[in-house]
Amino acid sequence: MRDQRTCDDLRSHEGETATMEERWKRAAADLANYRKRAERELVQQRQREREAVLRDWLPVVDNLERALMNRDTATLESLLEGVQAVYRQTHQVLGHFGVRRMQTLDTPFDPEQHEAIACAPGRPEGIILDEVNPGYLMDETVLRPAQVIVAITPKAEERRYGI
Amino acid sequence: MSKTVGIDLGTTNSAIAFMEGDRPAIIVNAEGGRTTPSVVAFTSDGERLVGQIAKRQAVLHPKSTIYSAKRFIGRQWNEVQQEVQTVPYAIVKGQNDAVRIDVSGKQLAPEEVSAHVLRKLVDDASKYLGEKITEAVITVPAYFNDAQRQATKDAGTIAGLNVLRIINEPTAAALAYGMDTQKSQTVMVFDLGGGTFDVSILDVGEGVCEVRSTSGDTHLGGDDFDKCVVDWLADGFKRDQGIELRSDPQALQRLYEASEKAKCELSSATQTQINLPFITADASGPKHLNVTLTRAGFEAMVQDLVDRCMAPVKQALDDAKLSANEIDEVILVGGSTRMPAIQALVKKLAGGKAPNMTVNPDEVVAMGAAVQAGIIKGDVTDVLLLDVTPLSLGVETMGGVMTKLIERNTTIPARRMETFSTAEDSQTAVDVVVLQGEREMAQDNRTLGRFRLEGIRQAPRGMPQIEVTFDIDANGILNVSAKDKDTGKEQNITISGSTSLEQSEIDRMIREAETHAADDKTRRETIDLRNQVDSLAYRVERALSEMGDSAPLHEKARAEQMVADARAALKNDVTMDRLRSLASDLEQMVHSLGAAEPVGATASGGANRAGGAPDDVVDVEYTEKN
Repeated sequence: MRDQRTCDDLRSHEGETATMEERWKRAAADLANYRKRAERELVQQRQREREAVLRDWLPVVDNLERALMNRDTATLESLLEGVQAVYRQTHQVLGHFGVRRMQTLDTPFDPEQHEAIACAPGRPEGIILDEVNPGYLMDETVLRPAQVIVAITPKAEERRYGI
Repeated sequence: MSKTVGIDLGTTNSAIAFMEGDRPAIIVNAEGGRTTPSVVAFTSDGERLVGQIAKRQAVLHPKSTIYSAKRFIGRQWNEVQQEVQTVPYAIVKGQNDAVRIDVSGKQLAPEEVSAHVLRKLVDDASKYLGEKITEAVITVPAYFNDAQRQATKDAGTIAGLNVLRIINEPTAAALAYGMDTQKSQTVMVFDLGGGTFDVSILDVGEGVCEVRSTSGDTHLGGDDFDKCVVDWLADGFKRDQGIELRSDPQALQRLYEASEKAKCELSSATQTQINLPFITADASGPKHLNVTLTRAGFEAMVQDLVDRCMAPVKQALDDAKLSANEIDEVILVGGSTRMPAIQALVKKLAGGKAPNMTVNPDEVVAMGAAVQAGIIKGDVTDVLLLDVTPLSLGVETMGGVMTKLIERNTTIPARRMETFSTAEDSQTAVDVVVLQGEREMAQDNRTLGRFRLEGIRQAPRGMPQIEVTFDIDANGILNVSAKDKDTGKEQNITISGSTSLEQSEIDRMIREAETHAADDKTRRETIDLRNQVDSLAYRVERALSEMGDSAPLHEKARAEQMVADARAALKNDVTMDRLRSLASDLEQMVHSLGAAEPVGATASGGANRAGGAPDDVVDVEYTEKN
């Protein structure tokens, strides 16, 4: 009698286990398929994002082309004026994406935002003397660090290091 | 259970990966980089910088910015005399002839420096994964001795990690390609990084991996190739303009950046423009550098460097007592192996074997370390192995096209449902033809089975809703059922072996689909357009009959003519343009008559796909069916 009950018990659990396994496999397969879809969508999304950014830049390219087309009649002054307008336009486009130029001169060197490409004698120590290539922030993240030349005070080298 | 990671602790760059389900994935660092420079800097105010940020201030603090610590780890003072000359920071002799790095009078062991790199990788990874990481597998070069391995392990311990295992870099690369689970084979791993070159010969397979030999050049890497281009540019500029660019740090910086970019571009393009406007100026005004570099030109200038890779490969083969023909597989590691000249050389030296490079060579070692971590933790062996459908599955729909319900490469078990309708007025049965393959036309694909669902109540075409469900279980058994929502009548078929096709058969079918892709697409578009015209003509006709005498006479005449034109066009082979113009005319007529959208598109024969998304179907049910 007891054996019979155990057997029945086992049989019913067997069915349950099979159902669970089936469900587990389906959940795992669903996840795998979801992942595949997410990957595909990510590629598409990236493509659309790129398109959007590049479309915004095309008018700048157009204007530069216009600047070069007028080379025969343009005076240096008018050309310069035109190029300046295009330059302002580039900053408008950058601003549209939340990008702004860093202010570096006479600020203290900060490796989070700046890349030192050389040092030169100057005071006070650690101040940015020159900007070789500007840096850009996109909202709060560093899009590109500024390349800068940093002041060092000669013969004070020993004191600068410490852990 | 906390995640276990794999770490490639490199001489110039490091990377960290973890097992995401059944495959390894690289973890990006806090700055968004997939690799992190192995650089640690100690600032004057006691701060510690690691990675890209440390690198950015290296020129300011050359004596307290430590890179290439890996060259010193676990080594004795007398072993590193040459290396000491190559770094700007101070190396001193510690107790027991140990190597110590002197930073402002404070002595640091190389393993402490490496520990800072590990700490940074792990901290960033913990943030990324949202859980604390305490266990790791770390890789070392195959030639590392016991002391170097122990010191690397110590670095992990200092960083607060439980180092599960130290494994060889080439072994990790083989693991990343899954070669450990295949039959035994001989593998060559060719690793050309930023500053070091290693070549190893391994016996891999059936769960075992043994290093047979190893060789290399500790001072050869991608940076040397960049320098070649920089010198070429600077020499050319000096010849043409008489100005030495290398003495101007900012010009030199731009030269290095442009050279590296050109090198990378020449791996895919056969020539590139190096454009550096306003590179310098003299009394006559600003100077611009603008030159074209061809791949052939680049390869000529780096020929010596490429040649330097040859001897170590031959040495490794000799030491393993193998000939080039006995190499079964070649794996490329390190960013510099993207250069076609290097790939060609490897292919030549490995007896013509095409090298493996599907896994990113900068990431392959970290990925393999993650795989090893997964094996140790049992993540990998316990992984549920689920099959994928090798080919798409679907049904034949109007016009003899295949409508896919389950796309190829879908992981199974999987279940998909779609609603179809009838093609003719008063149609009482639909034939469901189950197809397998990638071609657009039903006849070009395999027919797995067919069945008929009967007893559909008489209704205008497009009105009945037939739910077709495809369900493949984990064993690849496919069950297709069709159910009439109106009567509840159901019919189904079970097909076994839909996934058990010969690989050659699958390949053939995919290849055929690719070769016919363009033709198939045109045919499909034509049929879709014909179906659309047919459906619109039907709607106009129905609208007219519903309106009866209330339809304005001139509209009615025009509409009737339009329907007649469409029907005539469909009987003949007319051009796509003609079909398009018919479709747009009919569309306008449908709107002006205010005809309601039916459930499905219409045509003759077979089941019909309901027009658009299932939402449409529901919509119609409310507005029309009651």
